[in-house]
Amino acid sequence: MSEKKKLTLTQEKMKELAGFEEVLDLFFDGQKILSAQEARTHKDDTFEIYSFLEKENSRLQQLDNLFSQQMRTHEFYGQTSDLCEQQSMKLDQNKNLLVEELSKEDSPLQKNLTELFNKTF
Amino acid sequence: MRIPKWEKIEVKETEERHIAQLLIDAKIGEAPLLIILKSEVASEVEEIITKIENQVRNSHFDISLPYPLYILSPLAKPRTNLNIVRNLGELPQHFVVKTKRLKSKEEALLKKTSVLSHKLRSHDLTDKRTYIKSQFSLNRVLRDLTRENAYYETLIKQLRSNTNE
Repeated sequence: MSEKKKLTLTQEKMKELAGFEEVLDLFFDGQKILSAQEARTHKDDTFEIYSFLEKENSRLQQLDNLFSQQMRTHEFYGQTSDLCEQQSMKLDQNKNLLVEELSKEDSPLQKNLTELFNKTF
Repeated sequence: MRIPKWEKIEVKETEERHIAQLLIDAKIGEAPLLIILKSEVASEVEEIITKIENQVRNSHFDISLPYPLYILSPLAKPRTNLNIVRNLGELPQHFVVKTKRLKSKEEALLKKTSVLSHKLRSHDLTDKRTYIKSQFSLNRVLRDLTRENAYYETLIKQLRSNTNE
């Protein structure tokens, strides 16, 4: 049995031959007639699985990297708790500084309070 | 070895043994799995989901990694840990692939995929997930502390600039 071949034509040729499809079938019995664009998409189809598998491999590789390397490093050398401690200390210092600033005689809080007391009493 | 594309199974009975067998046959965790629930009785759907959840918990599978497990049912309520979708369009499109006979290069890539997914399954994913969650809360504490500090620092700076004027 002879193998069925595909006949690829350019877009212009396809337009010229429009309406003669039945006649063409008689000449090219069993051959599949494709436009150049169709032929290209048929060719591109073969890369669909390949690119999917490449993306999938990269996804799995990144996940594996996250679990086996990055997380392990984070478990042993994580800095979050230390940073939290550091920030808490800084917070206490800032609160003290703020109280100091506000308790100065010429601070806006003192001025406003003085004004308020003077007006009220 | 098979391409990790959506594997669909339909649960027709509510019997626990039947559900367990279906999940074992579908090789849960080895490919993205879609469980279709066609039942139109809400209580029945809830019962099946609870049984699937129990089965997944007992078999120590992670519902998202390396491959996700989804349930398709328009009746299911999102009260469970499992991923639920109402129609096929809501599924992750990454795993929607047309399969055909593979070429040698594609087969080599598929072998690599299979090895990597095995490697990923060998991690204790539940443990890792718990660790990540604990880190979430710690990072949030750090964020709140930093924000509070930044607020006080701006306040002090403004007070000092006012006093200097």
